[in-house]
Amino acid sequence: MLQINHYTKQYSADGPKAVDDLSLHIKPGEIYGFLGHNGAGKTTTIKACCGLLDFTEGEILVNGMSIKKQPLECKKIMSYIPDNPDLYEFMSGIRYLNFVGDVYGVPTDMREKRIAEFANDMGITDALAEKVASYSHGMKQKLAIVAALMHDPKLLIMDEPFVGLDPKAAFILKKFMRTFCDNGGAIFFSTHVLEVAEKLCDKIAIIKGGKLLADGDIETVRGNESLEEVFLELVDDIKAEEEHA
Amino acid sequence: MLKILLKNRLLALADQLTGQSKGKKAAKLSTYALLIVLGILILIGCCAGVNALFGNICVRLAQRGEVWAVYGFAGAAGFLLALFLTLFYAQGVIFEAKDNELLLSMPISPSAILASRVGSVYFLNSLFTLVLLCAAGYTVSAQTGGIGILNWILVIVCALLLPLLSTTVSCLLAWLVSYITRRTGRKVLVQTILSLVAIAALFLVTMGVNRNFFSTFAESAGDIAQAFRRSLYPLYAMGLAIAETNWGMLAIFAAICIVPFAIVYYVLSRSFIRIVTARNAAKKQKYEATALKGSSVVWSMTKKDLTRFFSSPPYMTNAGLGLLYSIGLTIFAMVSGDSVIRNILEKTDRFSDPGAYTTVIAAFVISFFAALTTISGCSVSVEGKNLWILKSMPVRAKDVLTGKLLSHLVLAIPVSVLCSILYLFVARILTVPGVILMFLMPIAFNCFNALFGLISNLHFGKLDYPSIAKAAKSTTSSLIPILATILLVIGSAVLYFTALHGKIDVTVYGIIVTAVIFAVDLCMFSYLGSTGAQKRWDELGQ
Repeated sequence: MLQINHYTKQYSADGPKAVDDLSLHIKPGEIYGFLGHNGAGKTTTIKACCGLLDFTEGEILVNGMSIKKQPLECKKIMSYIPDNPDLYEFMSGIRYLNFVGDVYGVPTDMREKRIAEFANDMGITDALAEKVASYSHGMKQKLAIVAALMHDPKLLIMDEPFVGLDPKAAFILKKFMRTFCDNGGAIFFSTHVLEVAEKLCDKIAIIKGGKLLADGDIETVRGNESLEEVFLELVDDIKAEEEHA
Repeated sequence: MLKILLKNRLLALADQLTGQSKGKKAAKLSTYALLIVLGILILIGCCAGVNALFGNICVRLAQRGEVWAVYGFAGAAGFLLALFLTLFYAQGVIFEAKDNELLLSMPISPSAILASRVGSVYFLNSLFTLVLLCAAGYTVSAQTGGIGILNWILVIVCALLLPLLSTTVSCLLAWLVSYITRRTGRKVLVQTILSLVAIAALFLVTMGVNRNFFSTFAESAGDIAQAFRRSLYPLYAMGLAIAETNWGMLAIFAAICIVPFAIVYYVLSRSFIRIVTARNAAKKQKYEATALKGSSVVWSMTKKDLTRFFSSPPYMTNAGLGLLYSIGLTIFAMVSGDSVIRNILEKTDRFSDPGAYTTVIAAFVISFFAALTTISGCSVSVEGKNLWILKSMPVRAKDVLTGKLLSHLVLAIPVSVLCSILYLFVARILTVPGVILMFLMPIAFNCFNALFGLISNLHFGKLDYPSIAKAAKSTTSSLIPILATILLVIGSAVLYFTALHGKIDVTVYGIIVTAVIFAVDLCMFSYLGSTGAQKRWDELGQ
């Protein structure tokens, strides 16, 4: 569903590589966690996968289509939820969802049904008449999630989706993510919360300084240790190597 | 602590004025230096302007021994200007500042926070007052053979005292606006109404100051000065203090300025936490599911941009100024239409077909006002932090840009058509080519203005504005389409009357201009769908 091949991103020609030769393959039915420190290159990678950021080298394919060459076709089957959803604050929640429905060409009866279902799941139905400006961070996050699901995407790309969510909404989102992938969808998301990644993900990738440290099935990556231990070991090893060099 | 807060506030104010939020220190210093030079030029311009306009009045007042009135009028103008320009600023920085809660969580006293906020309002107010009082001092000096150094010192002292009064009133009005918006939950409506009232007042004052105003004023200056003395005693005291170095009057004036300021400051500092942390009292609306209505992508984009426009009073009043002026012009034409038309006819009766000339001139005038509408000129910049939404959606740049174009045109074209209809109704000059021209020329210029603004904002607009209001107020976004359209409108009119008059019929010329502008519009519109526009759109936010 999402293939990242030798993806390299350099913000300026003479600057350092924000992401260096990253290759990942997210298949349908998989929840793929993307772990790393702040500034490791997670958001840079995620934005490139969504067509928000151009990249220097490599290729990103969504369902076999290049995000560079066929961005519109790719975007039709995917959804992106950023870590800090700056939504249209001047719109009410329902107008924002209707706007998203218009852009993705979702039939009105279908959008009504989906809004009713997902907004109810996220507990924001009552607030849909209010302006987005009056929403809390968590409510904006929930609205962004409902909007992302409006067109029944095949691939969900999420940047720190659990930040700002209350426990109930986080639980519902995790449940939804599992159901979504069990029904053939694919999810690629970044997180700092290792416990969530450990419990939720089928596969993970750990990135540091733009370089991939490890990836694969969660059991393979962690072995007999906890994900937290593996993560810290990998990161510290690299740090030690760097210091040694 | 107050010094740090005040310094931060003034630096933020300077950044706001210069449009800089970050950059090298040297670049910032050079911009500040430029700002100071600009300030000095404005001061010189004001001195010359006030002297030219009020010189005669000053002489008459001096003959009657009422020079104080010159300072009084300048003070009144400075007071009103300061109030008009800083009311919403005061509301924003004092009562709705986003960092109020952050600062309150730090070991800083509320009175220090308030003092820094009120200090920045006072600073702005004192700039306006200083310029006008200095201009008054210069006028008196130029017309009466010079004033003493003591008078100049008193001008400065009063320019520091009077802003205390305007700051007091600004703070009280800002508190009132905040209170009403909080109670009603209708922030946009309250701010829009207030902005429109302020603009309408400014418009009426501008229209009222016609060519007869100054001579009438000069003739009855003495009576006005007496009325002034009775009804605006603080400014009378100030004028007398400066003009006659009357220390008693200075003491009275100082007390009038300082005491209300101290009281308001004391009350606000005592209730600052309660005011800035108060919640919106408006009842929350509960969503009731209703049938949704779908739209095409372009129309959905248009509706989105229109909603953004109507949700932001600063966006409406800055970018939609042309609409307001066009409506104002229409009302003015309705009220005093006959005299306007007569006036134009008097000026054009030396031509063979005065009706045709007035029609073409009116078409140019309506087109000129169209130039002041800059909705599309900042429509890309206002996306700002929301840009990710459009860029993550399967939507072409052409659809996004067409939506932005339409959001400008659906407002601008009906207003210009209304102006044309009312003009025709008032003028009663109905020739078929003239009628067609009256409608088509403003539409062509409106399209030009919208397209030019949109394309220039796409290519040169910044995206890092912290809010819609800041993007809408950006000088580059607004000035580029305004200047381009004004130059084109005035250039086309001047070209005819300087080079082509007598060689080509005026109506034919108007039609040619309209056709050329439409052709340019078509080229610019086709650019919106080009790979160049798509590429530029893709580059945004990279």
